[in-house]
Order: sequence, then C-alpha cells, then structure tokens
Amino acid sequence: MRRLFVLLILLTGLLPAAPDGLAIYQKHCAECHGDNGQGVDNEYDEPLVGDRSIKALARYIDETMPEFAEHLVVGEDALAVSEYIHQAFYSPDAQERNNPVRQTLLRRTQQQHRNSIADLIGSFRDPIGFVGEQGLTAYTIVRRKRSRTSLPLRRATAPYLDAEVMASIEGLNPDGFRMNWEGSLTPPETGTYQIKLRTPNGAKISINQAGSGTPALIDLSVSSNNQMREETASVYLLGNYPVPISVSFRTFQEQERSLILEWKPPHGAWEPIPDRYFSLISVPNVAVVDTKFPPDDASLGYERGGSVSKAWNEAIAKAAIQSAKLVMRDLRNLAGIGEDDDEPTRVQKLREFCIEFTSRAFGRPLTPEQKKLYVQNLFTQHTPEEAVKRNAMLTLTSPYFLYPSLNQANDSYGMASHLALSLWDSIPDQVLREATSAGELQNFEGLKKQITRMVKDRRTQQKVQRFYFQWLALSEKENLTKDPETYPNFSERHVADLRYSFTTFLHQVTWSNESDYRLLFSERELFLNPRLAEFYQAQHPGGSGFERIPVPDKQRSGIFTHPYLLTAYSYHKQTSPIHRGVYIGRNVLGRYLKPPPNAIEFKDSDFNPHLTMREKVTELTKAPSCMACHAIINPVGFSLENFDAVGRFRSHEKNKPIDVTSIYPTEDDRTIPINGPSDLARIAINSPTAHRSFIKHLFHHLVHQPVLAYGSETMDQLHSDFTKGDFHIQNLISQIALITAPLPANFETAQN
Amino acid sequence: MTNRRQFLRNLGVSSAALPFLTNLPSLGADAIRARKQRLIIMFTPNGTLPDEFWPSVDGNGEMQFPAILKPLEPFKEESLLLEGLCNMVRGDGDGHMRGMSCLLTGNVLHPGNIKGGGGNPAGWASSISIDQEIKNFLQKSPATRTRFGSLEVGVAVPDRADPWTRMSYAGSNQPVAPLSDPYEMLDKLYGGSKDRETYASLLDQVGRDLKKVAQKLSTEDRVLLDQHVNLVRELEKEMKVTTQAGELLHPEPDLDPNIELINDNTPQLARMQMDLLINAMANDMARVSSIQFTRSVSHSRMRWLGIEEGHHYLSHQPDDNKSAYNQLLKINTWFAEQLAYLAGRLRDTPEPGGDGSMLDNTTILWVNELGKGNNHTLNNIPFLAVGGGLDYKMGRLVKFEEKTPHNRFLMSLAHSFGNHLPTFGQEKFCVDGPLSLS
Repeated sequence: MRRLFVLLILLTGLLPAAPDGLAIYQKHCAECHGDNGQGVDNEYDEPLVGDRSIKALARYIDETMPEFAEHLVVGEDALAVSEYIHQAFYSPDAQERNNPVRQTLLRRTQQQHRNSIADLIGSFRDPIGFVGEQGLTAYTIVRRKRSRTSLPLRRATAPYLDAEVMASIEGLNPDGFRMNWEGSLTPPETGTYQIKLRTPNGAKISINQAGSGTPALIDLSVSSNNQMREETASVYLLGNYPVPISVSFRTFQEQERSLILEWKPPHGAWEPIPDRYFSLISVPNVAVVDTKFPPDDASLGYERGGSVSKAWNEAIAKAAIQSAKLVMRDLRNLAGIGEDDDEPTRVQKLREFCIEFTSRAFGRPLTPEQKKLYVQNLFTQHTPEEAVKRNAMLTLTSPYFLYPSLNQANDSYGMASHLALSLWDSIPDQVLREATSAGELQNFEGLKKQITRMVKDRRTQQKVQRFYFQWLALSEKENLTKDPETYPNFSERHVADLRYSFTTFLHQVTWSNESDYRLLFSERELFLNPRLAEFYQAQHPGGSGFERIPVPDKQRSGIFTHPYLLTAYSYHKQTSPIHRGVYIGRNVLGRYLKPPPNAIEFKDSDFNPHLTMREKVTELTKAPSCMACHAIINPVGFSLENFDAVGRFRSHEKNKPIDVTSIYPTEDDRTIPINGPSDLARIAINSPTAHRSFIKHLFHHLVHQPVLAYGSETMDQLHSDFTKGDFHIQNLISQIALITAPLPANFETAQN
Repeated sequence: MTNRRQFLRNLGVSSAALPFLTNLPSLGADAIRARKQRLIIMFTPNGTLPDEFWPSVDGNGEMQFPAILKPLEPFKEESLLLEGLCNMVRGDGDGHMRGMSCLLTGNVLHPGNIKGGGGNPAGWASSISIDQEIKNFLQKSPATRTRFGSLEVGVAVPDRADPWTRMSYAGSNQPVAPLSDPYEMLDKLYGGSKDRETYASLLDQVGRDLKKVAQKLSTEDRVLLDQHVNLVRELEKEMKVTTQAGELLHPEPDLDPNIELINDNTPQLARMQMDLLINAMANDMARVSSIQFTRSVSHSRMRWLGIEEGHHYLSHQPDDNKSAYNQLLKINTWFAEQLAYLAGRLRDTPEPGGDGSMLDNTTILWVNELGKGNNHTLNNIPFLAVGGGLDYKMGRLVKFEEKTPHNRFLMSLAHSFGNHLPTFGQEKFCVDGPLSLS
C-alpha cells in the first residue's frame, strides 16, 4: 500500500504542467511543519492533521500560508500542496495509514476494580432482585403494658417525622414510641455520600451494615434534654448498587419530636434524601472498597487503564487487604458453612470457596497450576482461615485479575468477560456464568439473548450515564455555582437539581423504547421540580417532585439548551460562546479543533463594557490564524447567546437585541445558515460527522480501545447500522459490545 | 530505677505511715512518678452474691476468700476489697442506668428519651468519667503521655448505645464506646501491620506471575507489565522495611482468625481482648484502660458454663432459688477467673524497662453497676482492686461506714496518679475528701 502510494506521488510529479505539491511543500512548508507534517520545535510543533476537505485546506493555505509570506503559495499551487499533504499525512485516512493502531494491554480502571470486587464478593450472596416500589417500610413499636407490638405502619415513606406526620399515624402514642424504617438505598453514582441526622430525640442510621455488627453510621439514639442535635458522617457507595439502610427513632416523654435525614451526594447539595432513591426491597450488603485510587489515564480523551504507577500499586494493595477483610468478616455465609458442619466439611467448603472465588475473579476455570498456586499451596502452608485470607489478597493482586485480557482466549469465557467488562465495568454475573458453561454463547441467538439482557441492567445504565458526562466533557466540571450578585437566586441547590434534571432526561431518552439519538437534540420537554420551574418560569403541575413538562421557551430543544449544559459551559458572571462552541463543536458535532496557536485568555476587562459578548468574541478571534477554528466555534457559540450563564432565556444583552444568526462551515466545505439553537440541533441530527463522534465516544467509553484497532471498516459499519436502525442508542451499545467481542473459534454465525 | 515501695523502704518508712506521706506532695515526687503507673477497670454486670464475694477475716487478720474469689487466691496478697461504698447519685434513670453511667462519673444523668424499668427516662452522663479524667491528666505531661492515653475494650458488648451500655465518658453527653471486635482492636493498635506483612509475603508470587504472563506479550505491552513488576518489587521491599522498623518490645499477638463475634464465643473473645490489652499496655500504648464484659442488665446466656437462662433474669431470682443462686455463683466465679487471667498475665510480664512485674505497677479494679441483683441496690458495690499500680495497701478488706459515697473512691484513684482533684462528680458527695487507702 505504502509503496503504491509513493509510486503515485512520483507519477504525479512526472506529469508536466501540474504544480508539484510535494516540491512546494518541501520548499515552503517543511521548514516549520517538518518533512512529514510532524511539526518542528520552536516553529510549529503541532502535527499537521485535521478534517478539512482538500478545497477548504487549499483556501486556508492560499489565504494564510506561509505565515508572513502568504503570496508565495496561492491558487493552483495551494491546491496542489493541499492535495499532497491531505493524502500524505493530514487527513484521518492518512493518519490511520501512517499510525496503525492496535489493541493495547489494559488493566482494570478504578471503576472496574471497585465494581468487580463488589460483584465478586456479592456473587456468593443472594442476587439483588428488581428494585421495586419507592420508599421504605416503616413500622412503629408500641409499648402495651409489658409487651411490645410491632405495627407495620405504611409503605413508601421516607424517614421523616414532624407533628403532621405523627398525627397521621393511627394508634401512635406521641408521648412514647419507637419507629423503624427498613429497605434499600440506591446511590445515583459512585463516590462519597455525606449523611446528616437531626433530631431532639433518639435516632440512628445504618447504611450497608446489615447484620455486620459494626457501629451504626450515626448513633444519636440517646437524647439530651430534648435539645436538637445533628451529626454528619460519610460513606462511600457505588453507583446503582443498592445497599441496605435502616433508620430507627425513639422518644419518651419529650416535648419536641422530629427527625430529619439529609444527604449530600457526590456533585450534589444538602437535601432530604428524595424518596426515589429508597426502595422497599431488602438487599444484602455490598462489598465496597473505599480505598483511594489515583485517577485513571485520560490522555486519549477517555479513561482507560493504560498505565501503572506507585500510587496505583499501593491502592491495589490496600484494596486487596480491605477486600480480604470483607471476605473474612462474612466468611461462613459466603462459603455456605453450616452450624453442623464438621471440621473436614468446613475445610473442604473453604477450599471450594477459594477455587470459585479465584476463578470468578479470573473469568474462567483455573488451570491445574493456578489451582495449586492460588489455593492448594495456601491450604498446605496455613490454617484454613489464613489460607482464605491469603487467597483473597493474592487473587485480587494477580495479573490475571488486574489485566482482564491476560487470562482470556477466543472462547465463551473470553466472550463473557468481555461483555461484563465493556457493558458493566465488572465481571460476569451468575446468569452469564451459567450461560457460558452451558455453551449458550457459542451461537448468535444465545449471545444476543445475553447481550439484550445485559444492556438493560442497572450497571450498564450507570456506565452509560458516565458516558454522557464524558462525551459532553462535563466530568471535570465541579463547581457550577455563579456570581451571587449577577445571579442572586441561583444556588447550589439549583445546580444539584439541574444535574438531576439533565441525567434524568438522558436516562429517559436512552432507556425508552425508541432510544433515539436524535431525541437528545429535538425533545421539547424538560424535567423540572417546583424550584427549577419557578427559576426558569415554567408551569409546574404541582407536587414537590420532578415532572416532565414542556420547555418554557419556544427556542429550547434537547441537550444544547438544557440549563445544566448552558450553565456548565459558561463563565462565573457571563456566558462563554467559546466554551459552548468548543465543547459542542468538538465533542458533539465531531469537528477537529486544534488547541489555539497562542493561548489567549478571555479577559472581560480588556473590552469596552458596552460590547455584547458576541462582539467581544468576534473582536478577540478575528485574526485569520484564530478563525481557522473559530469559523466553526463562533457560530455554534453565538447560536446559544439567547441563554445566559445559568441557562435562562434572554432577548437582549447590554440593551441590544441578541443576534444568533451566523454561517456554519461543514467539514466538506458546505455552509449552513444558523438562526438559533434548533438549527444547531439539526446539524447534530443530520451530520454524519456528529453521528460518528457520538459512536466514537461511546465506543471508547465502553471498550477503552480505539475504534481503529478493530479495523477501519468497523466505524463505517457501526455508523451505517446506526443510521439505518433509527439511531437506536441501546442497539448501538449492543453492537459495540458484539463487534468487539472475541468470537469463539467454533462460533455458529448462521443467524448473522 | 527504684519503685515507690523500694524508695520508701530505703527511707526506712513503714507502709503504715503511707497515708501521712501521701499528703506531702514534695516528698520524692519525681522518683515516685518516674515509674509507669497503670489502671485497668474491669466491669461485670448485674450485681454479685454478697455472701460469696465479701471475704471473712480470721483471727490472724488473714482474709478467707469465699467461692467467687477462689480464682483470685494466688493474688490475695495483692488484693484490696472495699466494702460499704455506695453509688449515691439519684435523679433520672433506672437503677441499672445510674449504676452504669454514674459508676465512673459520680454525677447525675441528663434528662433523655431512654425509659428503663423504673424512674424517669434519662440520657447520657453529665460529666467526665474518672478513667478519662486520669487519662487527660497523664496525656498532659510528656513523661506520662502515651499513644492512645486510654483503651476501652469490650467483651460481647451488644451493638447498642444507651446509658446501660456505656460507663466511660469523655465529658457531658460524650460516651466512649468500648471496642468489642478483637480484629478491629488489632487494627487500631497495630494499624493492620499484620495484614501488610501477610500481603508482602504474597508479592513474590505476584512478581513471578507477572513475569510469566509478560513473556507471552508483544514488546509494547510488555513495557506496562515490566513497570508493574518493578512496582511490586519496590512495594515488597518497602513493606518489609516497615515491618522490621516497627519491631515492638512485645510483638503483636497472633489472633485466631476464625472467632465469630457471637455470644457462644465469649470465652475466646475475652481471652483475645485481654491478650491484646496486656500487649498494648506492655508496649506502653496506654496507661489507663477499661474492659467491659457485656453491659448492665446483661441478658447473656453463658452456655459455655452450662447456663441457658439469661444473666439478668437469674440475677432477679430470690436468694432461696437455689438453682439460680448456683448459676449466679458460676457466672461470677467465671468473671473472677477472667480477672485472675489478667492479673496472671501482668505478673508474668516483667515490667518493661523497670523492676519487678507489670502487676507491681498496675491496678486492676473490678467494678459492677449494682451491689446485689435481686434488690437492685446501688449500695455495697463489690469493688475489688488487684495489683500495685496505685500504691494502696493491699492484702486486706477495708470496711467503710455505711453510705460512703463512691465519689470519694473515684477521687482517690485520681490522687494516686498525682491528680489532686478537689472534687469529682457531684460535689456534695466529695466533702470528706478522697479515701485514704495507702
């Protein structure tokens, strides 16, 4: 291929009359850009790559290159040099050819590490069923003379007490009673949750501690002079892994009686825990490793386990030690040891537990050698319990666990491990393990059945939710509160509510039957609670919760105009068309945008205070070298100027009407007039580059490998199926999992 | 180094003159304080059987230990029994509650929401307990400061927090929870160094596995594993260095890893906790500690003694219920055996960096929330001290006149450490000053 290409260039060079692109390049360009466009230190050190068409690139060269001598390469010469560099190294095709990518060895990311350990230990407990009805089961314990009666009170209620609630409870003697709430709590994301209990009476709360004998998370069970007290504690939880929760309350002959339970979830604000996170079902404890891990490598734009470090290795050690403790604490239960088991039976069960533990961690049955090293030797050298502890530590430090691909092959086990890792960031569950050993992954039908089941799982939903934050570059956006003088009524609570509104919107679109990518941009409804409805001047139908209601301003549709995104892509005091333009242009519309040649900071004080934001940005970016990218960035950003830094609609800025019209240049050298957000949404819906960007980001997030590592036709196939299949997001997820799966050697493809 | 007794002997002062001497703070105070004084408070619940507890004194002035105290026979010369001390604190809370939460505080309980078998509902204690007071005093001076200051150990203490279950208080409304899980205790004392040691010993195998799998990989991928191997080697070295550097005078004890925290394992758990406690004190991690067996109103069924009924139920039976009486005898004798074990471990451990044994410098104080179970009295609480930590005159029974408030005894504990408190707990019970027991 390469030889042929060189030949082609030579041939072109021999043709008379046509300008020689290579020669022009070497004469006028290579000095700053390098012989192969790789860049030159102290001149222009960025590689010469991008997504412009040959014509667009030629025009750019004509107008701006070489710098300070723009007249040297113009017209046909500019076209010739554009053709040359486009094919030699500039275009995506050329890059792929010059830098072949491959699948690299990856270790588990911290997310995968935590989830895998929770699921590994959890796999020896009862599986978590469907998380059903909201709320907790509450019951009171009433003293009747010397006996106590437990009265199931009512279902679906959050742990909260005030005079009104107490008056509504039949048979309650407010002078002295106890009340308990039981059920589960489903954390919306992984991280540290702060919990606060407030009461002038006695109360305590336990989270993820069912039957563990560990002290309650917060214990205020003894009151003091009936005075209001509050205590805060924190607990690390995994996103979408429901944990048991119990709250108890008691009062006796006290004037004041109340109970308030609040939390501050990661990225959230203090609030009473909303009912929607409680569920009536009881669940076993989740083995949560709360060891602090260093952040995973995200240098390629997505998190992956592509590097190791001292801090990581130490975190692995701590996590292994902590996991071994969690195993030991509940060993009888996990290993199924009965009261009446005699010593040989007990030891045998422990040995079998270890074999099973290690093989589930490694994702396939152990080889005789592994069995010897990871289990038998330990039982020979140590007491059975000590052997179990060492087995857990060794297994969770083993390369076969840490690097999931190391122990895999193209067979059903490899397939199952791949599916669990790419869809769940975890290890196969019981159903998948059984399907694997029953040979059901050997044919297309069986495989499809598993993938369909797995895609709908709570763990996939969690992983996809994180994908959206990564795709939209929101993961690193932490503090979104704004200048309180400019936006006086916009609080931390609004930010937390907006985040929930945004994730719920994404969730509903993704997990509805249509699961249509286009709805992400075109849906004209928002989830708002009364607080947000008031702030954004929408009509809330009543009640205290989030309702799906029509957008308040006619101009809004989909994510681009969701106030959360608009707020995240804004400055502290004002909008930022550049941030909006860069993030949407690069991540959603899929445009190739280089970092600015000179990092110019936007400083508001540099401008005439009477200028609008659009005028300031236009002024700041007017240089041709800026406009190379800002021709794309600015129209995108300007189209959203009707929304201020907290995403409220505005028609004027600085007493001037806001102008949202502009011309958007496509990568294939067309222009699209833009007159507001719906035109922007239309580009995201119709542009193949945008589709491919969505597919690429989702692919990277699920598989942690570059798409090209699976062959250049992979993206084309995914794209073609996505557009033909009504842009079905769930199907795209399934297909990515399938297309990257190591197909067993004897796989029956009859149905495919 | 000279201990106090030798010091006094050298001075030619008999121990009979001790009460006089203790009131002269200037006399050799430094030499006296130079030794490590320690206090261990051991709690057991539900009162005692007075007839089987209080010794008689024969014609030679020799104590005759009744049944419950038989296990302490080897320590008779180091024992001091204080008969007639009463917990006079009244106010909110039932007898067990006040028995427990006023035992070491000598002060009233706050009004609260906990309703017991009688009296008003109550809450936590309203002031600091004596063990925490002494701890704070010792922590103030570099000469007596230790890593933890005090250790609160539990044996089969139920997982609940209320005035029946806490005797130690850092201050008003600040109960100190005893740690009942020996594995947690081990972790607290030695920071998981055992686990790190175990982990380090596995790293060799991990390194070998990594090298083995690396051979099958492409050169590019092998780079990652080579880095990983180096990190593993580095960690292995570091962990081994830390383990060696952390050599203790008394090495960290090995715990049987298979003891569940259930009632029937109480004897093993008690043994583990006592071993950990002695070990920690031998390593000078704390000079003050408490070991709390269950809690007041304990319902534990001591099946390891062949007893199926709960302790509290038995303690309520009338004296003429022979079966209950015999079972209570067994229970309290078992508790005395635990005390004897503690005392034995201390006597068998040479005083680190000093003369004699640890028992010469440690006083174990056995306490109870009640005097007697079936009448719930807070009078005549069975206080028994073993060992030489407080420089009391040992080998005797001291009978106090009726209604001697136990606050005075709490004061004398502090005074023995050089903490000359003018009062402790409710002031009205302190007017006669600390008991002179030296």
